[in-house]
Amino acid sequence: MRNRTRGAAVLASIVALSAATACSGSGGDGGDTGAGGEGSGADDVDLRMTIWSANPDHVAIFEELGAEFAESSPSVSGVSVESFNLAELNTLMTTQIQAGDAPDVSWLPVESSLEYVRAGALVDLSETLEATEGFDLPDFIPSLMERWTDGDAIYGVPFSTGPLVMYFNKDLYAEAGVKNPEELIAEGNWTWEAFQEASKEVSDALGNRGYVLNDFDFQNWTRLLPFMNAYGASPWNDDASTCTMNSPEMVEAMTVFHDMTFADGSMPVPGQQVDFWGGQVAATSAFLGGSASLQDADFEWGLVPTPAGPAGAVVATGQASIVALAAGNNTSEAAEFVAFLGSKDPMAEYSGFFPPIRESLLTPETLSESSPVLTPELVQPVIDGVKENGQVFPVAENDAAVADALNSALDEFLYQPDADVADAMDSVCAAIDPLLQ
Amino acid sequence: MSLRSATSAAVPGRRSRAPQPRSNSPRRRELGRNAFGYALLAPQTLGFLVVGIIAVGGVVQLSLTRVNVLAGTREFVGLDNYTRLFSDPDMVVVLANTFFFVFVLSIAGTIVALALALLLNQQLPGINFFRAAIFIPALVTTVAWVLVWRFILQPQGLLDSLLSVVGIGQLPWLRGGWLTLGAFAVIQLTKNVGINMMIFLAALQAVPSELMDAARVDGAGRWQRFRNVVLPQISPAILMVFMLMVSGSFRVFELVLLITNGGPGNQTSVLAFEIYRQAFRLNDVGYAAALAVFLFALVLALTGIIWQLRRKLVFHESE
Repeated sequence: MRNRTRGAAVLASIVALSAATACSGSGGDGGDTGAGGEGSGADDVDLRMTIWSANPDHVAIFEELGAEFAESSPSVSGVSVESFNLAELNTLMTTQIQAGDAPDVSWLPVESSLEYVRAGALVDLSETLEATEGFDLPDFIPSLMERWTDGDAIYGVPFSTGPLVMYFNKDLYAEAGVKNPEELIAEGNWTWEAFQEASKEVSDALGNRGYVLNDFDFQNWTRLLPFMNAYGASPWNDDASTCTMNSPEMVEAMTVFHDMTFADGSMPVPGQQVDFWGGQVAATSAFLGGSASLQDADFEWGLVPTPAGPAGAVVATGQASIVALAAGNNTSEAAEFVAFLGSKDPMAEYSGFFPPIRESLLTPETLSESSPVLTPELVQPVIDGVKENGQVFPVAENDAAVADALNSALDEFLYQPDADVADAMDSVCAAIDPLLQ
Repeated sequence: MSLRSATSAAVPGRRSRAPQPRSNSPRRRELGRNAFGYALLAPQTLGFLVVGIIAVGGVVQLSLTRVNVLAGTREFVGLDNYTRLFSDPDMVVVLANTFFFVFVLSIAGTIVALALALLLNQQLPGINFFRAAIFIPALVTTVAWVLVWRFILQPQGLLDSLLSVVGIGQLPWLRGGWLTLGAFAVIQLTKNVGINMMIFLAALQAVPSELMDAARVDGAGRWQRFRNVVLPQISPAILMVFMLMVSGSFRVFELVLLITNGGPGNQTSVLAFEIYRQAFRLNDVGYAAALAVFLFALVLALTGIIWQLRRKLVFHESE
């Protein structure tokens, strides 16, 4: 009996405390959990920047640029650079914003742009950029800036616009006696159909997989964009209000992917771990930065744009910007730092690692100078593709929820050996349509 | 009564203290003892109050709100998140999976650990090697353990290769359904069985040998000795392991995250993973908090029921 009384007392305490905290925290008309600031106005502001690269060279460049900015700024005494894993972006940002400890400046992928802009989580940089001497906004390719602007407002400075390109293992193609992508391009036959056939021949001849989507693992729908773009398909319409995953173009594109995976056996099936960079697979599509993994490759490799389709040779282009967080404690200094990093000279410092959208910097020489394996000749076609047919990843307003539902629905309905692709895509649309406005 | 006090009371003429009814009253002494006991408990209790109850209160508060973390706004929505929880079609699968793990891991986990402990409770040369072999997985980090299993279970992986030797084709181990849930149960069970086995081993070795000898003299067979002597003696350990397994099974998370991400669809999702998904992938902190409160209530209720049943199940507890 005593135990019961004591237990009841503890339970009552929890309920009472919960009720008390609930009442004190809920105003009904909304409170403010952010810790945003207009700028401290103090003389010694320390800015914090987060980036998703742990590469010491990348970190060092931004630290050096931070020190340079601090030296020239009357109010900023230093800039610290912290690395995080891109997959943890939402976890990191939401936790830090909720805790009132948001970074001042951060990299942000284009997929998150609309969600952050609409939530008012980013600082409008337009006035600061205009006031920054030598920023030269017209130097940015306008079509590749679209995701970061809203009317006259500018919410991010794109610093990396990386195309998804195709790397291939020349040795495996030669061993299988199959024409490699370079030879198919020379023949004028660089299409998904031709590549599908070549991949199947490699798989049949060697038992190796012919193609793998890098960083895909059946959990990242954006890696399917080379298929989608080539067939003129998009997951949703222009204003991201209606699902178009069941359009005829999308069904055609996904049929090629599904056949390569489950019918031809030329792509790994869900759960299977294979690696192009270690020489197990004949080809992969990855970002240009993936070339760093080929530094010690013991096979001969090549680099080409991804295959074309009925919609032509469209280059799926990922993008990331440098943004200032509205929840940061030093928003005006943060905006000035973003403007500094986006200016031509500082950007030239890191554009060898991150393909810029400044026309003056988007040259084969710039992209290849920091890479131990890329040459101007290799990257020239890629740059031409980005300039002429670059198509930045599609973006939805509530991207986190839409991407989660899309990945989940594709996994459940499409990534199955016996899936009927058209039916599967109808089911995918049924899953994500309610999340689009 | 101590020897010293007994002696002084028995010697006439020896100077004794005047009666001090206030300080020597049993009630006063009891109060003093209790105060000392409460003082010893105070640091831990205060810690629990700060870290435990305030945190729980905070989560309950969050569960009554709709939070837009990016916008920095919070809106009181009453019980909307709880209403949504009970009408969410995904929760049918999530709860079924969660209770599957609780049921299988708590019962099978306890039985397997006990069986291994009985098997290894022998004085044989090299027995410590076998004990260590079963205990070592408990020392490995869960992430490493899960990743090793992921390679074993992947298509055309080690398990498929072994099964092909006996003519069994490839099985979709990680593509959802009961097969994946069963594989998860094995991964989780083999990870933790070593700790539970050690608890049982310690309990088995604490069974008084005179009881076993007496039972032997009385003609009890092996099964009777186990059923009527060993089992009652180790029943507190069984209860503890079972309760730990029940509460631990509700927190199966890492292997879902690392192997299937809850998919395909939400076929392998569990409540703990759903909380993480809602809070950190979908930014829906309010709903995630409601799920967390629901999980807390489930664990509290189930362990409470088991605790109440201990009088019937555990030796000496009914006295």
